[in-house]
Amino acid sequence: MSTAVEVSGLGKTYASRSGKSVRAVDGIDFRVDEGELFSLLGPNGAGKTTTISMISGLVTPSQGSISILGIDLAAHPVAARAQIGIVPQEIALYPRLTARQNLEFFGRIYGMRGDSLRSRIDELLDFVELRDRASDRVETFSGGMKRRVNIAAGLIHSPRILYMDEPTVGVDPQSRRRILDLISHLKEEQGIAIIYTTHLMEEAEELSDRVGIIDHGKLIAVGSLDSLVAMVNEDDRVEIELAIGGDRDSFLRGLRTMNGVSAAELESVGDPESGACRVEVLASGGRMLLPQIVEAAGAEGVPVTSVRLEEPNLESVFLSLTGRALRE
Amino acid sequence: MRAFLLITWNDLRQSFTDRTLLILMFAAPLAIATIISLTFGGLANESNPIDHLPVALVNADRGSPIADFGEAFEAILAEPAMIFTGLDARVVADEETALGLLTDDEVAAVVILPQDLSRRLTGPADRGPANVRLVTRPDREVSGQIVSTIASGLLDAFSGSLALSQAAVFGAATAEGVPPAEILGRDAFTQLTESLQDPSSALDQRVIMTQSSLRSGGAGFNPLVVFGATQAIFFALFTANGNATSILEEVRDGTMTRLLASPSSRSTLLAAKLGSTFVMVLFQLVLLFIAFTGIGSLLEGRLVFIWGQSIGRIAWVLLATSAATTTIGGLVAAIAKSPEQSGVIGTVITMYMAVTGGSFGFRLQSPIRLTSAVHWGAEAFEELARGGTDIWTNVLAMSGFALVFGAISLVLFLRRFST
Ligand SMILES: Nc1ncnc2c1ncn2[C@@H]1O[C@H](COP(=O)(O)OP(=O)(O)OP(=O)(O)O)[C@@H](O)[C@H]1O
Ligand SMILES: [Mg+2]
Repeated sequence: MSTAVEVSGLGKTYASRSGKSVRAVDGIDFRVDEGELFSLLGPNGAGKTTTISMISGLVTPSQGSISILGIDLAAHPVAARAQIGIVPQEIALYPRLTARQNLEFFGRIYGMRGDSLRSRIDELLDFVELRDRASDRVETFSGGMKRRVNIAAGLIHSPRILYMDEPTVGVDPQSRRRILDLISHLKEEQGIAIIYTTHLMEEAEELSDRVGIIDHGKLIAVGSLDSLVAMVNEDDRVEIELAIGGDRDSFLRGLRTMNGVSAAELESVGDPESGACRVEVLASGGRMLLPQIVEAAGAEGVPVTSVRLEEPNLESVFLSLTGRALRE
Repeated sequence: MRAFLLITWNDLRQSFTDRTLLILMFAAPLAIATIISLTFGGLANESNPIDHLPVALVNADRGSPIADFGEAFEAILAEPAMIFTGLDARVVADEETALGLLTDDEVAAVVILPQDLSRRLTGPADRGPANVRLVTRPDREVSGQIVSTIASGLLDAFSGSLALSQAAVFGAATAEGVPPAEILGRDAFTQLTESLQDPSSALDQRVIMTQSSLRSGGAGFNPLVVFGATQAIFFALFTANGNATSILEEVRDGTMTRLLASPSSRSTLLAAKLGSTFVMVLFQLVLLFIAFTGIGSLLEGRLVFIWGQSIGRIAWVLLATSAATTTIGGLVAAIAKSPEQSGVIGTVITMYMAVTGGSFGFRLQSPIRLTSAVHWGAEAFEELARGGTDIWTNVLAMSGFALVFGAISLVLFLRRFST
């Protein structure tokens, strides 16, 4: 598989009005292969948009180099830009034009015309499920519909690389679902390289082949989901809720002897009348232990009302790397 | 070129689907100019006539033994401290020179004092009145009326002073017991008695003032010309500002991001945005000038080319005006931080140019008017309407505006987009 985007030592310092300079991106390196979805995950102001702007040729980097399908962006900006499609963070469409007119205009800007442009527009309108609204002005669309046209506009010239900057910001859960499904299709069926920024770890987890965690302009960790999680070396948490009955102490003792379990504690919950309680187990490979735990409870006559498994995720990775939560 | 045309077309089609914008571009200037010119006819189209109204005075008066009224007239008009007339008179050697100044719109009126002014005023009435001539411009009727009022006021005052001096001479003669003839000399005395023998002879039998108007080249002068040109350019400035501001709106709305990310160069994009503004403004002006021709013809009941017949020169002025207007809009957008700010600065500058350029019914004589694109454009159109050809200073001035402002705005924009 060949390299779609390669970035090394990339940095951007903005001169701020007060004379101080803002180091928005601070020397980052990453590589995205063709057909791969790479997420840049980071909180507000981390430098995601600045990074995207630099690798789209919109903002000139203060340092570092960018290569697009082997083309040096600084040396051949026009050729490199032709390979890239962008879905900006804000909705970048002409509100007074219809969906079709918007796509037509951006297609022509990329040098498309005639039948090939027309059929590409139809294809994309089908893809984003807006064929029936094609002739309505974009200003009459809902937020989610605008987002979908925004994505279609970035795809109009069939780019081999697509940048999406927080494409689900400000949409309802249903529309978000639709957009995420669209992106999965794009990746699987069209094989284009996608760089996707988000501050939502669920999105990064669902879509990404690899994730780069960005904070204060620095890429603090890059890798597949599993490798990132493994990196923080944190236990899974299993929460077991018990109703009254059976030998709880013996159940607890049994849990502590299980393979991989580092702790098991009893906590009483809410209503003392019912005698219900909760057991919290910290273990590596918690998922593998679940059958064993349920079996042990049965053997001790302890009635289990619910079992919940919490595996470490990007949230915990971020927390352990920065000491802060991803969401303030 | 492809990107240039595309972006221009895209801007134009969006503007033409915006009804409010269309009203502002076409309906408003047409309506305003037509209503004003119908209401005020040719009267209100003028500068504030009270202040420094330029007048040329030709003094052919040879005087009489008693008085030289020509000299007095000259002294009073040319000496602003003596009387507040508001006239800015200059004495000119002959009629030809004076009419030349009037034709070039250097003066608003010409006053010609005849050879026999003093003799008629002091002599007997039966010799017929002296004829003081006032020549005005068709587009400066108010000025003509003001000069006429002031001149006849002066002549009135002269005859009043004549009566006083007659009384004084006779009073003195009676008191001293000396025959008045000895005080004045025989000829003067004869004249004075002759005029006194006819005490009923009113001033208008001694001097009349006839007013004529400079012929405007062929077609009658139409007030729509002044109102139309100044209103059209005034609203063209709004269009230019609005359209150039769309650069900032595209930045705010993110569509500029898409354009900048596309494989077109920055300068092509910016040139296209300014180009679309130019096309828009040119289109607006052409349509307005055609519409004014139509309205003018309707009012006259026949086809009149109120802008004159020189299509080539009209095109030059239209192009230069559009270019100047466009780059003024471009410069404002290049300086402003946001579309809102651009709108505010643009309105202020447009208003400034409208006020100093004559869109609001008065025309400044002060050099401040030279800073207004409205002035340069409207002046050229009026010149053409009058059948004149002297538009090249104006075309040059507006091209100068366009070159300087265009260059500055391109540089500023390029700098802004290459962060
Ligand atoms: N044009 C600019 N001039 C000065 N500072 C800027 C500029 N653009 C961004 N910054 C600063 O750079 C930092 C990174 O901003 P950036 O927009 O890249 O963050 P982000 O990760 O995209 O945030 P968000 O999730 O809010 O979109 C911020 O501190 C921001 O204030
Ligand atoms: Mg951002």
